[in-house]
Amino acid sequence: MHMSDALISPAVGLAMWGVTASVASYSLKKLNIETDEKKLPLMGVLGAFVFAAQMINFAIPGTGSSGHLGGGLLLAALLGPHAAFLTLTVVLFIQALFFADGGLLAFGCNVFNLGFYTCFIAYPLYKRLIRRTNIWFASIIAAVVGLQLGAFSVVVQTLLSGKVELPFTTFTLFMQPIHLAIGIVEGMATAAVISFVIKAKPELLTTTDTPMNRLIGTLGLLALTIGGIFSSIASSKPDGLEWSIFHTAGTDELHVTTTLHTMLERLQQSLSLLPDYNLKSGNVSIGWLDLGTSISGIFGTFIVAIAIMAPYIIKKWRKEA
Amino acid sequence: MIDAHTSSTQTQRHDVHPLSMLIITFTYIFVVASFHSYAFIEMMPLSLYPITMIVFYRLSVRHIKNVLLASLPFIIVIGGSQLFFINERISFLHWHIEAGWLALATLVVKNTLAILAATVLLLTTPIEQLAGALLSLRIPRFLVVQLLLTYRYIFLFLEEAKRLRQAYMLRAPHHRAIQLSVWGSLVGHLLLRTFERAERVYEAMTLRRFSIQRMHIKIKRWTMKEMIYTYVTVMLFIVYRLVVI
Repeated sequence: MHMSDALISPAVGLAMWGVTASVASYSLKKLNIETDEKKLPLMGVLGAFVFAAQMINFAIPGTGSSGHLGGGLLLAALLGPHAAFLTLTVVLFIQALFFADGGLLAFGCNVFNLGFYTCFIAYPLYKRLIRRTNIWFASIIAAVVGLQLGAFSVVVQTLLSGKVELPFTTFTLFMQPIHLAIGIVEGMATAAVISFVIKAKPELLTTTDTPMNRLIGTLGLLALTIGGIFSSIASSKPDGLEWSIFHTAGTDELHVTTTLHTMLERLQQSLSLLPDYNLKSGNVSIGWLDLGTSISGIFGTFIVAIAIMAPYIIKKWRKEA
Repeated sequence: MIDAHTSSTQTQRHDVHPLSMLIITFTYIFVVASFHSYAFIEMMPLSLYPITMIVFYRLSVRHIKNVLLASLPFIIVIGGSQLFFINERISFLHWHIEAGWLALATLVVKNTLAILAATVLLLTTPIEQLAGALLSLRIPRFLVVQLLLTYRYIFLFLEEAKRLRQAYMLRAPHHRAIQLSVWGSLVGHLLLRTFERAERVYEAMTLRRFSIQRMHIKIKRWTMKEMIYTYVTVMLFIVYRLVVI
């Protein structure tokens, strides 16, 4: 899943360098290396271990082919998410520079796609699942989720760069199933090693948790990015309801006939802040970014977040009172 | 593909300042990536930089060839898709050709140039000097020390992994790959040895009063001559990009 420099534009490459640098800086702060200096050699040596483990292929049951360990989820289970993210950053830098696996400009994209999702989304999910299910199920689900998100990011970053002509749907349908299979294999490999470690030396597995508020923050940021940026490139085709109305009534929006309907429609038009997911003043675009749709996306995300969080906030407020 | 000495052998070719090499390489890749999907001809003059470096510093062509070949399959698959998704003809020099073919060729050239630049950086800059350059760019010391540690142990571990795989294959000659159940414990044992090694490394470091801040990483002085060389080279790339739109 390593992206190459030929596929991305300087703007996307630099933006992802910035995002990766911020996550690395946050991870460095959280790691508190002054009090846990022992982690430095461990991180270095485990980074090298990932290279070595990738050399040893295993047979994928029932397929006749072989796979190898990616290592991100295993590193997170052994080191915790912050140290694992930093170790993966170094591993990917060495891969880009010494093995030409991923480019230098694309380095930020690769760290984000392979490191961020694995350490800060897949690993917390793994920690939650493992309390209720077994290692194999938890590892496979977490690895699949991490890789699916990573693969989708590859699609988005490639398309935003605009260096290749690939339809969004075709590219997504090509990437996601392949990475579903890779995710299952990665999960199996991770589970096999973790099962061995649990039997041989269980104290090696970390108990570091990602704080829930950080996880919510991360997911919130993702939702905002999707709502604010990717909504601009969403399909302009009618949704399912509009499509069925169009085929039954010959128009994709039904027109009002009674006085009550007219009154209610006027009221809705005057109250609605962003009619038809757009600005009241009309459509404003900056390059490919449709400003009205983006603002609607961000606004919608906030409303949904507030609606979901409201009962918890009220409950907490009442408890404190 | 590479050995432990690829980036650390001290020869006369290591006389380019690492910070200069780092800045020049990034600018070069940045400029290459900024070209549009059909800029096959426009990018050709940019090949002069890696070719000059390879010839001037007599870099290993075999190594460069191996790195390039390893990167080709992925880029050819992505580039090959352009033949299906671009259905128009484009004028190229004096001919009218399928735009998809030109997009594929441009993608391969772009990939080749970016990889050549990164490989030239690797082959002309020892890892210790690269670490010094990263420090002078304000990359956190912790990450730089970790880079050095990981790089130091990769080759030891690759050897160990090779021996493990060979030992299994000699005992199970009809297997093309290791069975997953066995693989878990094989890699698990490698992991346990890794932890033991990390303990030993930590103890050895502590006994020598190691601290991240005290670890000596040499930062070479950036002379005026090197600064001018970097400035001129970077400006050449940028001016060329601005002229050829």
